[in-house]
Amino acid sequence: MSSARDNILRRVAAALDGRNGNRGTGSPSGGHDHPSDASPPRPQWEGALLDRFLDRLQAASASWTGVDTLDAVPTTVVDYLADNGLAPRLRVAPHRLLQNLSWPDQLEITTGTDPQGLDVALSVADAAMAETGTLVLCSGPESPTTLDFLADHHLVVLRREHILPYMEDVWASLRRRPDFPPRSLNYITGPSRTADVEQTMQLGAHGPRSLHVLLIP
Amino acid sequence: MSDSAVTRPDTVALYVTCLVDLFRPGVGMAAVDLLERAGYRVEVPDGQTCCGQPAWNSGDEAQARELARRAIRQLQGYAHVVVPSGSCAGTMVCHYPTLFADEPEWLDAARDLTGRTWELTRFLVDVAGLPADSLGPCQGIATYHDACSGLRQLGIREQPRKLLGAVQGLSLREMEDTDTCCGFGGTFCVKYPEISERMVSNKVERVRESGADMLLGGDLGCLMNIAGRMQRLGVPTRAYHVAEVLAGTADGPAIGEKER
Amino acid sequence: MQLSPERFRSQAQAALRDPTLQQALSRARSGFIDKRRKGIHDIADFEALRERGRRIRDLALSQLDHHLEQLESAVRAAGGQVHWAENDAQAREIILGLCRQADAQRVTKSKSMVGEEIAINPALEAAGLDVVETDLGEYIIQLAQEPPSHIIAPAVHKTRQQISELFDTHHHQGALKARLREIPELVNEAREVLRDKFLSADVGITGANFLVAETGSIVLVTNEGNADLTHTLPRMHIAVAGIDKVVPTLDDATTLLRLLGRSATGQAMSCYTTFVTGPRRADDPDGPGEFHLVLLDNGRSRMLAGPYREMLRCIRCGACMNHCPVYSAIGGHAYGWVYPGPMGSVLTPLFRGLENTRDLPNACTLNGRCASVCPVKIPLPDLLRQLRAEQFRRNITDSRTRWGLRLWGALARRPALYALSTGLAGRLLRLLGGKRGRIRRLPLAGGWTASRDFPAPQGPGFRQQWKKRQTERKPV
Repeated sequence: MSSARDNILRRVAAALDGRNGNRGTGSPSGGHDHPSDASPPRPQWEGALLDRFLDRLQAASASWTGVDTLDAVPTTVVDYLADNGLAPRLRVAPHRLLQNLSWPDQLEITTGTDPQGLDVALSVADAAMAETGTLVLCSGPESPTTLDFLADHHLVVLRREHILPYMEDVWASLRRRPDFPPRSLNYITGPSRTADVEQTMQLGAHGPRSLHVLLIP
Repeated sequence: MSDSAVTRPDTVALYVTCLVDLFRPGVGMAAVDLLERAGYRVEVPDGQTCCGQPAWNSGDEAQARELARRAIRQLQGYAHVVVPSGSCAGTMVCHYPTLFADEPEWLDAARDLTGRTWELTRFLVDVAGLPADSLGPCQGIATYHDACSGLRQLGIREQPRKLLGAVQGLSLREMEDTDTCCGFGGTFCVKYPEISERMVSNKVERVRESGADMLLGGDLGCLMNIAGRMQRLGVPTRAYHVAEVLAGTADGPAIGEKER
Repeated sequence: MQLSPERFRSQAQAALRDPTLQQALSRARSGFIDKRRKGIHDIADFEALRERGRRIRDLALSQLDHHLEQLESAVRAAGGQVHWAENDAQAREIILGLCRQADAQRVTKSKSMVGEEIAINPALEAAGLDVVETDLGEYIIQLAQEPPSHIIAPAVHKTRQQISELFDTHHHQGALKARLREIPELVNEAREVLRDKFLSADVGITGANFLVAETGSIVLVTNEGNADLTHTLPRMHIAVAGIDKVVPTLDDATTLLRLLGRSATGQAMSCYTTFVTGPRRADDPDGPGEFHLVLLDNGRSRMLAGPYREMLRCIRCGACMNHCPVYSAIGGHAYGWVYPGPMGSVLTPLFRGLENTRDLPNACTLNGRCASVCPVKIPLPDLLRQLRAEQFRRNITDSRTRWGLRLWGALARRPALYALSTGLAGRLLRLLGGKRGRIRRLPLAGGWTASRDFPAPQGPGFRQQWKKRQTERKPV
């Protein structure tokens, strides 16, 4: 008996090769024979990459703070929690960038993926794109996806040099990594939201209610 | 076919459409007047009936093809064919070639017709170069309904507005959703009367909100539909075909109004 | 009552008479159209983007077998498994088998139209599993025991009052007496209820917005983040998708994502766009131990072979229904099956058979607005017209229409008879119109005159007037 797989593929092939079929002629491995491939239609902007990124980030209801050095991240976090009336408790991703930070004693630091006590999470973005104000986070040993979605408030450290113009640039950059693609590659644009009740936008549907970027040099 | 018409660039064949012929002959006369004002000699080829649109839209391809062949033959040789309806012109321009995809000789003839066929307002603006001077006159505030076929198949949007802008005494006030279907849709309005009623009611509401005292459009089907609903609801806005306003004959009874 | 595409007419009539539904629809109508209009502004040449999207989809479909095999190898290389289902029954069997294999009790689901197409929820529930929809809209209609009425906003037909009542019944056992509550309160309550479900789920089922052949990735687009909790937290992730969803490369998916968000909700990018590739890696701190991709044919290979191939370009954005004046008059349930609006009026007859869906291709004015906004330029009116032609050829067209066309054709082919008949009809109608100039009730045109006056003809016919004019001008 022939398998469902073989039946489907045979029908598809017959459809493409049949009387009415027209099989494409582009490179079968890539399919990159698009017209005028040089510049795909996409948003254009004047001015600096950083300005565009921050503008779009805020348009997506996210916020940001510039941090002078990596070492200043803990104080910035403490201030952020205090300013927003949040308890001094932080879940930190096991990212190498965050390993040697010295956290103040008043802050309770936890690690791991336990959903209990996961109010505020701190993770590190692998890249960002100015096109849409989007953060790019790849799952992996240093970056548990759970943190990015279960936390009520999500803090993300982003290196300025990791901001790229477009999604195509993100692909070009990430493709160079040996572990690409990760299990879960997340493009995150602002906090979680829903408009399912009367088409009215409401933040904090299932994921974080707020998204805050700590921009480091 | 009139031999004198062949290849004379100043001769226009008017394809009057079945709705205009039966319900609103004044639209045809207004079209003739406008074309003559623009310096064209107008002929009305004999034997015109229906372009085949109802058959084509109802899935009867054989009948659509037969009626298309008749129209193609009747309109052969004219430098320009002008139609006071976006949907009939759209059928000829966009669908006749599809109908004859498998008949090379007729396909050529259909394509040839496509290149010569124009909806009235588009012809007046894009070919005849109107408005050279003032049109009309017509006193009042008008709002314009963009009939779907003309708008989306033929790209007619600016042309009627440009012409109406040159009508003495007329001001144009746009309604919301000018490009939303009025619910006519040929046989749709009698096959699905309740859905059509909701759509035309929405349209009438937009017309009413605009505060215009005249509703204009380029397709008689839509105008009869909207006018019929307005009259049933007691909305006093009067409906005219755009050609009547441009030709200055919109001082007579509006669509569905009694003779005065 | 069970909805069915065969009962389109009565379902549409019921929808038109439902004031609550009409209230919800009129709110949705302008909202979606405005959002798209604003959303496409930031791309100077959006038409070029649509054209590129069309080319990408066409190219992908024209080498579909190759891309499917490439996808399969890539998924396997990433540690996932691929299952092939020829029809809905096979897909249900595969998914149920996987859930049993995982010894599952609770399944979380992220909104999937293919999931609706194969009716997976009833199958899993019948097998004793607790199935929880996690998209808020989908959760609301699951509580209401209704199918979705829109492909991206499944509960668009529900008002806040109705949602308050549902939540009261299901979360508070009626204690709130269905008090009308504010939207943040409702969203928060659903968040809390569903959080527990996410944390206790054994299997997570998602659909896929796209499948990327080169990497074996599935693309998930949401705003709520529910898809990510669905695929990350349970032991097993099952993704189910139509075979038409494949695109060759990540860059191709990028172009389509630019079109999808803008066309659907006016967003340049949804909040969460995720590329999932295989199960948890050896050194990953989280993620499911198993990843299964179920590829569904269910008639798609047949569509690929026939005259409706262009329909397979569809990326399920919902723009066609958002801009459809018929959809916005009657809502999605009237269409009677999973896919509503213009895309559904093409797809449903192709999935369910033309003889079981007589009304769908006809309940459209062919106004063309859907095609003008479709991100991959599907000629929806042309496809609907093609279905009508097929109905006519196969004698499915109703007899009234057939007789009407026959009569009209007989006249239109005979100009002399036509002139005589229309002349007579004109005189009769003028007579009926009397002094009013219009007719309030017209036999044989009751559909028209039930809600509209019928205008009486204005004087004798055009050709008569034209002849008179010619004679006057050129006296013989």
